[in-house]
Amino acid sequence: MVKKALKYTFVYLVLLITYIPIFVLIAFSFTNTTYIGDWNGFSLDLFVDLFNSKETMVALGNTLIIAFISAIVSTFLGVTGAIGAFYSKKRTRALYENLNQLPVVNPEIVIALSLVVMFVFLGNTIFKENLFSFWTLLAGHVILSAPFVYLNVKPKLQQMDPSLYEAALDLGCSPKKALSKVMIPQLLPGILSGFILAITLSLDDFIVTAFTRGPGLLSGENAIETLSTLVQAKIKKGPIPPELRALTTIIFFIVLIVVIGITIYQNKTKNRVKRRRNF
Amino acid sequence: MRFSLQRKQLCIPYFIFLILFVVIPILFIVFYAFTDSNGNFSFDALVGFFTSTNKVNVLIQSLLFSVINTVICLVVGYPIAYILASSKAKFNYVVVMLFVMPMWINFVLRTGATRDVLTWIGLNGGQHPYIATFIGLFYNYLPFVILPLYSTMLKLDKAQIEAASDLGCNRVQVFTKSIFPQTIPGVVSAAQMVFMPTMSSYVIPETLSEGKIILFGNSIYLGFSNNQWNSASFMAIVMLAIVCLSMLVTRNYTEKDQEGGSSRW
Amino acid sequence: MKKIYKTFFFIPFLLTSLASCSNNQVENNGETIFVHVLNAEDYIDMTLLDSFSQMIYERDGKNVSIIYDTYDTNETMYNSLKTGKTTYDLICCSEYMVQRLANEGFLHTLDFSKLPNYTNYTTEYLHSFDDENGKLNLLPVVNEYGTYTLADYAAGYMRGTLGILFNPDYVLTNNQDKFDNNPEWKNLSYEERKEKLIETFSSEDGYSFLWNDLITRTQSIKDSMRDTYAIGNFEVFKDYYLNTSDSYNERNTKFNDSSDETIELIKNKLIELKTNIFGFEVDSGKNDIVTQKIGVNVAWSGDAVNSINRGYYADDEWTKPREDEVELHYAIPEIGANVWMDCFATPLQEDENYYSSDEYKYTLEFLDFLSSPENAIANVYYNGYTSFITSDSSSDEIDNAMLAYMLYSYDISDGDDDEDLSSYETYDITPFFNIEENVESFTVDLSYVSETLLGEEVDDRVFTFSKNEDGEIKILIHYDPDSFEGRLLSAQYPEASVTNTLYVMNDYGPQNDKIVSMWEDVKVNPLPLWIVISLLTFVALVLGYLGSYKLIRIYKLKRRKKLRELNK
Repeated sequence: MVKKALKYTFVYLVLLITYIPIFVLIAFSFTNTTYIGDWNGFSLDLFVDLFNSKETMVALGNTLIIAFISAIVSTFLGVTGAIGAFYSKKRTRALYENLNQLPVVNPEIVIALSLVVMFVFLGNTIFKENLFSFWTLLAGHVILSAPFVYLNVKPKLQQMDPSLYEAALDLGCSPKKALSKVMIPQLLPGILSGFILAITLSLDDFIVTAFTRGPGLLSGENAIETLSTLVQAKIKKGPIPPELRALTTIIFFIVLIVVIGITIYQNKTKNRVKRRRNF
Repeated sequence: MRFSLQRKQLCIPYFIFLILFVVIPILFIVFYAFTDSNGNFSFDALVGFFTSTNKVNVLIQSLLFSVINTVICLVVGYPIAYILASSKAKFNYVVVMLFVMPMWINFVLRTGATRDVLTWIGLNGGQHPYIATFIGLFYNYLPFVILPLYSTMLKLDKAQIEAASDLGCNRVQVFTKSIFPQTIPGVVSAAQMVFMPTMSSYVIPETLSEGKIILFGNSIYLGFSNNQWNSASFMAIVMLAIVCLSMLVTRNYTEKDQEGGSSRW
Repeated sequence: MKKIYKTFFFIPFLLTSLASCSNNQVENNGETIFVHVLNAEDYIDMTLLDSFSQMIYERDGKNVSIIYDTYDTNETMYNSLKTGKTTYDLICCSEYMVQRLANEGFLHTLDFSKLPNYTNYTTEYLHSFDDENGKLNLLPVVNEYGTYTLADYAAGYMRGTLGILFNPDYVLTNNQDKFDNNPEWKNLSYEERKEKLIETFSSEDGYSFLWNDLITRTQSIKDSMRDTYAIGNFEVFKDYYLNTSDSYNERNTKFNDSSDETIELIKNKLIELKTNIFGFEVDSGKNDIVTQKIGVNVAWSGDAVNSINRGYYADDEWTKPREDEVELHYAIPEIGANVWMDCFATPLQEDENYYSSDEYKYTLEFLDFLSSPENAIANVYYNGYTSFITSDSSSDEIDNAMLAYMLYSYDISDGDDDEDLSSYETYDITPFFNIEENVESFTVDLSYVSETLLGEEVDDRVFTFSKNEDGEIKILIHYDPDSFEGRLLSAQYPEASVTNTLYVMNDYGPQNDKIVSMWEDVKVNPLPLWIVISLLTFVALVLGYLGSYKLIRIYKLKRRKKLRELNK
């Protein structure tokens, strides 16, 4: 029993240590000081500041828009790609697997650099104009996340009963209908976890965003500012701006609620999805 | 004529996308790596890379950082994953989720927070660049280690472990002969999740070491932003080569994992 | 499942609406003209952008929107211009970068006839590097279009020096043991030490002190290769600068020495320096020194002014002094310093029609708008540098606004007739203003600046400057060098005596790549040999093990196959 307690002490100690920076930010989001370490009495001013800070709101809006659009696009591409590859010939499938693996293992900075080099080259020689815009940024984010959607859907395809689709066709479904009525529902857990993963990857990305962004979205004619690029620009100059501490608190609690929600949902659906690894 | 949808045709858009935005850009990088600034074919970047002590130095240093960081993360993450996976408590899944949860908070924000807190407690990157950077790397990559290890360990063959101890293995032997070999796929994929990203990380060393530590990612960035596209492209190629090498080395172990029906994520 | 299809159907619609929404917002009142401006960070009073748009709208009824982008160093700016990520109508960068861009044919010459404010109010400073032919000899521009001077391409915006900003109290208390054990310092009292420290930084040993282990890990230097290269140059050629009788031009050539041997020497010096510093920064130093994260910072003068202000005041509006002042000093070492001039320039556009377009018209208009004295004052107030916009020796209140602002900010005499002015030290700022030779005297009235620009009531103050015994008009400010105002003043306006040791940095041309590679060498941490060797051995062992493991397996498989075949 003591040993067990010791084991868990270790686990929770590490857990606590990994949370220190976040907890400190959260604690100091309830006081109105410029630097962490100064405590100036309880106040919710920073939350007010946060919602009044136009640049943060614009960055937040951009981040969410990009995350959702890129997640939708990469889910579409990843799911169709995975289905298509699964039913292709073995050699074609191997080609797909390898192609799909390329952006997974490729370091972000190489992806970003290669995209910039290509866009600049095309912009200078063929299009004769500046290509950088929301679209280049979207392409960058889709590359980051689509392969992971693919990887999330693939195991579900392997587990699926292959005769169902045939049965649907035999019973008079058109291929399209068979796809939407039979296959997609069975793949849904994989698609959903892929979708969530795609959103996560897009929200977190800095390098690809910084390289491929151009003017557009809520930033108007200015280069698209996402949360990552905004925070990076700020922390280069000094400590995290106070209102972003408030933002951290809000994000943390939203995530906490989501995690609790997922846990409850998964407890309900028993262990069926326990093996699924999404983050 | 009615277009009939075949399932395998579904992958055409994704295929086109991959060719356009993954394969062709890499070809562009290869093109830049083997040309000079006037666009003529040359080996300048290659020769420049291998004759420049600092670039090779950065490469070695980054490899060293990656190895150390991978080892640290594994040493801490492995027992945690094992403890959490070995007992049946339902609550353990929540603990795993808690380890993973910081990943949802913006990573640049987390890095900045780490720096500010380290500065506050006197462990700033100016005085202790190595410690600060390793703390930052550890914070960021620990979840990537715990996840794959945890899911591998959930699948541990309990009967085999019991059999091993019944057949007279002591605790160390049970671990080395039964538990560890079973978790190798998890260890390999965890190492993969940490090793290359550490090498190519840009924000973490830049922020936490006050600009004093340069890893391969920073070096590529520095070359690119100083308008040295050719050498930056060559460094990217080197990076890609290392990726491919590490994939080849570890392929035997991960294949098993993939055939087991779950992805690395 | 229909829902999913609907979502997919929805995407193109959503995308098109998003892509167009940015344009829709402003198109209500006719077409909006976008002027893209690229400038260094924290360099302009952002409220001016809106007031410009406002002014144009009221005057011409047109919507002009300034799209303002920033960069951190000239090198990254050069890269983003080259990659063509965005095309800019107006860029602001340092003189050498304007020179490089102009040499490479990236820039369009400025039409000064369209810049009435600028031609009217600018200093002659940019021309002070001309030789007798009227061509800039220190910063020549030769490109495919001909031979020019830098002043053909550039309109000066701000200038400043690269010096040392330090907090004596922080340095002395944080490294007290070291000072206590140092033979030169140990017998001094705290106050004496402080005095000595302040003196050291402005002495000939100012830069050398950065290498001194007394201040180890309390100082940060610029993460910008040219600035730090300049510091290295002063340290390497210290003896030369101290003993030479060379002319200014010859010394300036030495300052710009980028031969291979010099690069090597400077590289070694900087690697040595790196082990002694807290960190590299470009934007955070001015903040870190106020928060007392560091004690010494190699700083640009405007950032220094900003930090000194923030160390003194408790609030961001600079109205309420702190109770515990962070006392910051800015010093330009006696041996010399880099002076730079940031200029506006217009990138060359391929489209011929551009030069008759509204974009171009309003670009120049914006540049001229920034050159009016009241806006120049707003920017100086914001960024702390020395503006190219200046005052002259007329008595017109607008022509004199910049000088009035200076006197208002820095002169500590109270203006009474019976005041004993001899109790103050005086500071000569004449070189910063255009004084015509044949003028006998002129008067500066503070009321315009204080009421119109700063919105503050001040006692009526009128300064009259007239010729002294030598027949020159000198603008002298009464000040106290150790006071807060005194420290600000000497940071923003380097004394007339040091102007002869302020050097201009040129573009390194073909040597630039070597300096970039030197900079990489400096920033990369060298690894001890034993680590390299043991790492390589380790990798070789792992690869060897894995390789042999695989080979053995292949061999075993083959043997098994053979055996199986044999069995058959």
